Amino acid sequence: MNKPADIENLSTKINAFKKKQDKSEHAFQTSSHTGASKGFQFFIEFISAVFVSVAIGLFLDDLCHTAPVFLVVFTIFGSLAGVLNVYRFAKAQEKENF
Amino acid sequence: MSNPLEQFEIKSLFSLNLKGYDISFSNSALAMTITVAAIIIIFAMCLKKRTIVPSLAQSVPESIYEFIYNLVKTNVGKHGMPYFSFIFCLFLYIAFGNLIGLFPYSFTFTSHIAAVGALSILALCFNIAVGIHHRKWGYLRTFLPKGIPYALAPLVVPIETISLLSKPFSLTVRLVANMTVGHIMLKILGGFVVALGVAGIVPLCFQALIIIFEIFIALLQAFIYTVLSCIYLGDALRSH
Repeated sequence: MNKPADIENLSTKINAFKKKQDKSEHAFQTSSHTGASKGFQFFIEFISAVFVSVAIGLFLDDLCHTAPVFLVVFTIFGSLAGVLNVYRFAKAQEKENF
Repeated sequence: MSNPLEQFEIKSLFSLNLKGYDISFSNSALAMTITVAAIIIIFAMCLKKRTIVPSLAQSVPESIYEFIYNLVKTNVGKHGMPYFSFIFCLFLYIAFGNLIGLFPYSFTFTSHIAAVGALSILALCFNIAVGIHHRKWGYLRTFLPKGIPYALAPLVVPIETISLLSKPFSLTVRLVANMTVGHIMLKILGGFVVALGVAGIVPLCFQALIIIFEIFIALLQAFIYTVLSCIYLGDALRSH
């Protein structure tokens, strides 16, 4: 059965609107990752792991009176976790771009 | 010029004391209350007359709802839909908190590490609980992803644990830094407007542009916080 002309017209209108909306949504998402903000986000991803691990190290040292053993160990772990965070963030970015 | 950091000071409005603990109602708590009240009132007013073909007022909350719904569906998947309401509330709370903070004489609670940090830690606890609920013991795989030899566990487990614990910190710092910087900039420019007298029209114009930019940043940061919360929730529901 053939669709009436006005219904077909409406479906093309809906499709055009959907395409337009997708485009604007994509533009909003890509604009959230400009160069400077991307750099800042990488920095945050790395620094947060180091900061958290240093805090854990200091807390454990204070608890066990073993300064600076835990601080040193957790700083190393924190740096590695920071690199892992940056790697995962970069991978997520790559997925988003391609 | 007054101190640009003065706007972030927490002042007690009503003194309350509970067994030696200071639980005073502060300007930060007031801003949070106003935010929640504003969300409820705006949504209730917009959705007062519900029709199948939405009016302009009804289409505003509906488009926000649809936007977050698609966000959760894309980033978490269909099995993440039961937690949609949590993500939706998170977005509204942060977006409205950021926007209300832009009003003169109001307070931006999203510029405080304590407020946003508590919210991020709550989100992390929620993600862990959801992960354990869905995957039971399999959730422990988060700390030792598949394909990694058990000999490397002493190295990988602490790294993955720190990586997990750093998530709320990175969420918090990102939002707090953006909000704090924007408000300091506005305050400094506002100081120039007063200090320069008639020539203050130049920084005033500049400030008007910055305000528009800040509205955009307020919504963008709420969006980024929500997207990342979705990604972390998705990670909790499936292993890396």
